Amino acid sequence: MDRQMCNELVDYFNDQLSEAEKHAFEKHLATCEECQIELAEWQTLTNDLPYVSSDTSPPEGMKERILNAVFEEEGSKEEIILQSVPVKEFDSQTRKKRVFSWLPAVAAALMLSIGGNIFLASVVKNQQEDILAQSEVVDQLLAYVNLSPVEGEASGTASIVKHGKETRVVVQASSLPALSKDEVYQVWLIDENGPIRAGTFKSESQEGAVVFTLPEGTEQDWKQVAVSHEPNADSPTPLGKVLMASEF
Amino acid sequence: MEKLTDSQLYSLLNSKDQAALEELYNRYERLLYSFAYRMTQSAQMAEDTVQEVFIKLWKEHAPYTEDKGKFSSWLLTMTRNTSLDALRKKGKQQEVGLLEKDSEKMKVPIEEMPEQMLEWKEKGTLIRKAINWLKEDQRTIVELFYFQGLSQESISTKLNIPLGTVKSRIRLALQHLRKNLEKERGMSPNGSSDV
Repeated sequence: MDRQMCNELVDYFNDQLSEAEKHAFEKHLATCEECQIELAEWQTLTNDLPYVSSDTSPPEGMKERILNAVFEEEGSKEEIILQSVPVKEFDSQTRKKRVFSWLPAVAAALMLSIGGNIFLASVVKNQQEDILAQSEVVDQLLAYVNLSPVEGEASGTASIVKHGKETRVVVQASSLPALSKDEVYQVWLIDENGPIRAGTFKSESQEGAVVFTLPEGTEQDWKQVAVSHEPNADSPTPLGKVLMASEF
Repeated sequence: MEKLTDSQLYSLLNSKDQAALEELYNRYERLLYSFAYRMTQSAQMAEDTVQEVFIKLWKEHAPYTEDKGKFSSWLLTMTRNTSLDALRKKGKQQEVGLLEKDSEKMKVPIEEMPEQMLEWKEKGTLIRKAINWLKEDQRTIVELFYFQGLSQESISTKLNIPLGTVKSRIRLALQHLRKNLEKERGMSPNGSSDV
């Protein structure tokens, strides 16, 4: 009998062995009657030990938290922490058919459960990968590009996302130039026929994000996306300087 | 749901019956939490442990069969292993003396106690007495081995005893515990034993 091996029973019982050691011990256990008896004995003898525990009240809300976590493990829902989105204002004076859908302005670290209708984009610098990952969870990602600065130092990302029947454009940007009165940042989608407006945003913090739902039937192949610094939110064509752009 | 046995509820988890899981949760929440708390001495780790146990029940469908013994024992073993895992990940070690902190007091009035808590109360009283009968060094070894889940080597170092004697000491302590339990059971009005 391998005495040394028999002594491993303690570490086996307490799951202190590496995979290889565990495997070796189980092989030994299969042939060592003494260890088999002892293991069974220990299991029986320790059966009642948990009952020495004092009755301790679980923290408030534990049941809800746990059951939510358990059922969400199914993969139908994912929890994502929505970071603070520094978009403070937006301009609704846009063309009639265009629908703007904005991320909550002051959503500081809101826990949101997605899988429903809400598209989330986490708007924090250097979190492009996060955005990509989150987009994939909810929607089918059609395109994703980094926006390169054209005028100034602004940079950001743009993605086109199929969300159910809708097609959405998500742009996030940082290091934007300051705006004066009436001025806005404007996202443009550009194809052979020229640019169309795809979301207007303002921000006091030189950072911002916009989620824009394209009108139905405008799912053509876009060649480019650009963000410009516009004197106002009304012009159907770009008037101001292009801040950043990218080819799709 | 309330009338089903634990095993019956468990088998309903196969068909992803959320109500069955919730019923098992209701039955065992307090016991598992208290035990995990006893093991980890941390409310957060205890909650995480209970969550992990129920995720295992639900998602991985941890395999329980009646030949593994009582469902409650199996669930408690899983809770112990999960607690030890959490402790190892945190590198946390307990310094709790067995019994010093284990209170008899139940917070739920006896008439409102579910079956699981009555069993807990009864067994708890007996096992605490049985542990009390142990010599100090045997109590310590039960604490280090069972509740802290230490390795042979750590136990040997902590108690300053040769590595080769750890196993036999654990065995001796557990056997004494059983004798004490039998004595206690013999004295208790319920008398029966399932050990």
